[in-house]
Amino acid sequence: MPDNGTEQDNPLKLLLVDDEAGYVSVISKRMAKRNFEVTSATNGMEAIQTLRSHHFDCAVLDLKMEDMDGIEVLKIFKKMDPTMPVIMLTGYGSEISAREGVRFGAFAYLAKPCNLDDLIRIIVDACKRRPEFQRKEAI
Amino acid sequence: MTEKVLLVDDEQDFLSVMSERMKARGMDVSTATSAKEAIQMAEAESFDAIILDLQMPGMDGLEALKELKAKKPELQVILLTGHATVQKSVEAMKLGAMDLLEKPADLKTLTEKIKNAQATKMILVEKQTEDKIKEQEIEAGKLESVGELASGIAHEINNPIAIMVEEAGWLSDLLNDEDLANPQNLEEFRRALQQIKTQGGRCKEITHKLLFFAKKTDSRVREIQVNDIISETADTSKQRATDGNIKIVTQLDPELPKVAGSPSEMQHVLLNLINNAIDAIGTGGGCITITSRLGSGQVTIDVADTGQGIPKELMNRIFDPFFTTKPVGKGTGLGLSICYGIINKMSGDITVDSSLGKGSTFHVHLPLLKNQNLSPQS
Repeated sequence: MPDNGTEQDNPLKLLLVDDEAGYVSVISKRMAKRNFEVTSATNGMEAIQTLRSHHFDCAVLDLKMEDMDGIEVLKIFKKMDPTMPVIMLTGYGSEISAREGVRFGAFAYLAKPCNLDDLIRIIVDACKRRPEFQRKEAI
Repeated sequence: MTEKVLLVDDEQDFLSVMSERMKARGMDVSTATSAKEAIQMAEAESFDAIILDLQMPGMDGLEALKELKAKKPELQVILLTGHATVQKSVEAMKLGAMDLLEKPADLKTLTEKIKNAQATKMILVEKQTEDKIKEQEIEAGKLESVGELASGIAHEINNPIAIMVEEAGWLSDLLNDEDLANPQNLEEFRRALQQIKTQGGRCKEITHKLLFFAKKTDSRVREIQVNDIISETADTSKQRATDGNIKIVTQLDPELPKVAGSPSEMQHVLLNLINNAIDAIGTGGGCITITSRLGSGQVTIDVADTGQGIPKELMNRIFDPFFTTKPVGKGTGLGLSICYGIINKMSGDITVDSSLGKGSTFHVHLPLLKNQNLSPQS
């Protein structure tokens, strides 16, 4: 089982935002098994509240949610923590909005249903590019 | 216009005399000496009128008439008879004969009948062509509505699929570490399997909805309860509406009487009106209210949106075929014209009120069933 490549006692902290509770719960379990610490939010407001009080290595964000557009949430995330990489997930037929997300600073986008290994690879890749992470690695 | 006539009689002498006299009056006459031969000829060629002898050996005139009408309903058949019994005459008219004349037929009368037959047949053929075109238009328009539904459905269906894929992945994660002789995670296995089943059910429901719209329009008329069709269609459009932050509200009269129409065509009308309402509201969010009510001897459906409204100068064009204000590739401009066609066919009426910047309301008025017994209070 591939994991995130970090030390066992130093899991990557992930914020998962998706309005599909069933999806959030199963992904959290699978990621936990791969040495991630997953905090989930099922709507935009909850996600913003969570980010206000916690630090995350990376966020995975669904494009379509009941209360807020994923792009709006992304813009707010980027204001709150400009270096936190955000990966967009989309179940929407069109990729146009996902590309728009990348234009607003998302690290990458993946179409749902996506392969978990692909998602993890992208998360790890995104985290490794963070200046903080590189400093941590150097120490 | 030359009348193309097929003359059918088992008496050769009668045939040759009649055909000569008719040709002399400028008609294009073919002859047949048996019902069988006549049917073959009528299948191969198009005749304005067929003059058919009632008494013939083998297949008689009535049987021939029955077969001809079954094969080509537009055919105009005039029966000739030596001595018509009342019973035979009635039977012939019931089978769709245009007229029944006694032999010897007066040629002037026969010529008039043939001219009438030609005119009637032309109208019938024209109507058949029109019906066919209308049918094609409805199919094309439906395809468009399905396209609009498709992006909403892609979103709706990918979520349950993603959950199923991940639950299956979770099961294999657990199985990797599991001692199968002494399983520790049975409860979790059961939960994951149940979740896969539930999400599969969600997918099935979605494809079921889509197929409902994709199947060929059944234009057969039956008694329909408009309320049921409104609820069903509003439900199908919910995802597309939610994506645009639009609420769909229904206010249905529970006492609403049934009307006559094709359920799938009625559904098509509602889907079109809802899709248009969603487009009219655009990105800002809003509300669509669908009301059903009984008033002035008809059933009325109102589809009201809080959208941009229709400019006055466009009001009288919106039901025109191919008229659209949507960008190229976004609409064929057939939606409302098809709705108009369907409602018109149901002997109903569709009208619109609109106020720029406030929204539009489409009113669909449908006649009540003829033999409906309405209680006085309704």
